[in-house]
Amino acid sequence: MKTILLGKLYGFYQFLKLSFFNIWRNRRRTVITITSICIGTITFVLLNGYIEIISQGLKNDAVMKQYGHMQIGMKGYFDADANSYHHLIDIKKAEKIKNEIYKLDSVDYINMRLHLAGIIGNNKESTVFFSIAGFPDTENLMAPTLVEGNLLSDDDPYGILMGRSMAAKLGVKSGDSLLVFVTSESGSQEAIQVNVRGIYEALMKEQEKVIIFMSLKAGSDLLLETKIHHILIFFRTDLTDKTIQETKKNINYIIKEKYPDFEIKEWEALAVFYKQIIGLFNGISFIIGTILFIVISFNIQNTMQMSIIERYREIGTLRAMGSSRFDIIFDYIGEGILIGIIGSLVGVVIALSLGELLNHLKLFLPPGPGQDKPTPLVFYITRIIIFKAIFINLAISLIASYFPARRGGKLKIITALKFV
Amino acid sequence: MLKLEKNFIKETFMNNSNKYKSNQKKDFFEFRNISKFYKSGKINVVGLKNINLKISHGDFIVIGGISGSGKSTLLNIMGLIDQPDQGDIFIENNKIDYNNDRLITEIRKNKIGFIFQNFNLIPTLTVFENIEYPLLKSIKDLKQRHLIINQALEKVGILNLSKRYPDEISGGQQQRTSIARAFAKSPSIILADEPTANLDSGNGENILKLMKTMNIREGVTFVIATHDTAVMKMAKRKIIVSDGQIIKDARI
Repeated sequence: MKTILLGKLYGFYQFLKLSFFNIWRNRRRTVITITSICIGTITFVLLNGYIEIISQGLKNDAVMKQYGHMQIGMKGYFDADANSYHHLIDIKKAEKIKNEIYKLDSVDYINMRLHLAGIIGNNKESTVFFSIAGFPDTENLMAPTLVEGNLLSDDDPYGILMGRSMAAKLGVKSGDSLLVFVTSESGSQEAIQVNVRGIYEALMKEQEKVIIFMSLKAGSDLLLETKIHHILIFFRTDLTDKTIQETKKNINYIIKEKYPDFEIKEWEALAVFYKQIIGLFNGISFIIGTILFIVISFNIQNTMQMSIIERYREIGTLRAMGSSRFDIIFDYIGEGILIGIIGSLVGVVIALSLGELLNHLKLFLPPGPGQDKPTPLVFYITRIIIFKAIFINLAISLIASYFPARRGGKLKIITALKFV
Repeated sequence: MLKLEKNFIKETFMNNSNKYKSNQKKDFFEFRNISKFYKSGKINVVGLKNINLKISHGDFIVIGGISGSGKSTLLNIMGLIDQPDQGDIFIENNKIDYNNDRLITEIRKNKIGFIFQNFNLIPTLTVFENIEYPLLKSIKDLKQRHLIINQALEKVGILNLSKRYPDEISGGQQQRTSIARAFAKSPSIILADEPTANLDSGNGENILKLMKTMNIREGVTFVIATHDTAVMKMAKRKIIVSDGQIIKDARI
């Protein structure tokens, strides 16, 4: 039994050794093929590593700065205009829902937001705005990066945060006073005086131009009532996927059973911009990956085809000695896969090293559309990306070598033996 | 020598010898009305015509004839690496069904050994590995396999060359490797197509002696296609082929 196992292992070793020596017979051709696989793998791994870090950054921004993990609003709110007064929630009811959900251990914090639209300005300039009003303590957890001044504060209920672009347009700096005009829920024109408490920067210039942050107190003064549009729920960051799913299930249950007038949306359903960007990147990755792997596939197929043509007589000999068609196909596919494995592994090692090197060099790409800051060239190469690259390479090696191998297996022995 | 090895040699080689001896005079191969045609442009050329032939275990047959007479075609059909256009082949009284590739492959693997004019060794494998390669799937036991290979190498006198690659040994030694490869799987019959054609006279003679010795001692059936008169002299049975037909079939 032991010697049979040893025999099988030895047989496998012989198979690997033979495959290795066979692919090494025409070194130049094999090196070219392996190099093409390497280049393809490096490109695929680095491209996906770059997309991964952008994706994670956007996801983090979408969840932590914009949407939370889940949102609760009146039924129909999420399909309507964000500033519409048709789906306002009374603050007492909102507090009740908040307190109930807050009892769940997995929930880290809960924010409540009111959206208003109007005009902001001083005696020289004015502009339209969209306002996000919330409780300063929780709103500050979602606040964008400040370039000037301070975050919202309960002690300064009429202090607002304004984007760089809007501040530049209005010609204001932190500490300056402005007037805010809004149409209240009852239809009256309301105005309050606010002061610029802080100036923020955002990824998109468009956001900086129109969005202001204010306290719910200031928002309620403009609305003439204390109401909110939606509740944002944030989970703890140390949760497992299973716990997250359970928490979502619990929140859904609470809302469905106790608050039938309300509905829940998960962040993925709300983050349209995030989905579009990721969709675009995935599309680019798919197209580039497909082109790369088609080139690799042709290369492997060509190498295997040449290898088989050069070894017709050997195939004839092996078949004459009792190798089956399948044995021949298996041997040649083995060689193709071995080329794929070598190319993939070398490619992955180079990609990891290159990624690490580029991360250390702290290089930047030109600013993206709507941005004014250069984008850092950083790669985050996950295990999934590496497995994906190796798996795709192996699958391609298998498919690309199958057809030449099948041709070798189908050769008539007598024809193969006569080949010179 | 280990007890295991002794037992193994007894089991394998003694049994093989007995097998050959007990099978002697029994028909192994039978050709019934075998014909083979080739196309040369628009003309049909006769390769073999109505060949009827029986081969018994333990024979040492030499098929002679000039180039193009059909001796290699006969050998190829015998080795099941070529297919006749007409007629039937029986191996151990079983008719060969050419549609059953799996069965034909099994027969080639277990019952037929080949020795080629150009040796046809795999250049990336050592002498030892060249012999081992066809055995990898049929003999799973490592010790048993290695013992058989060493025995085969010893019989052909190149045990000391087992780690060399084909391009590191002479033509005669390569042909010995080829013989060891054919012999190691204990086939019922070994077919050799011009085995001495690429060897000098000294090496050719040695190879022939080796095959003859194996035939006498081990009872291995040999069928050799050649136009070398030195080979013809060693035959137990001579078959002369001309224009695709057997014109002489004589036991010596």
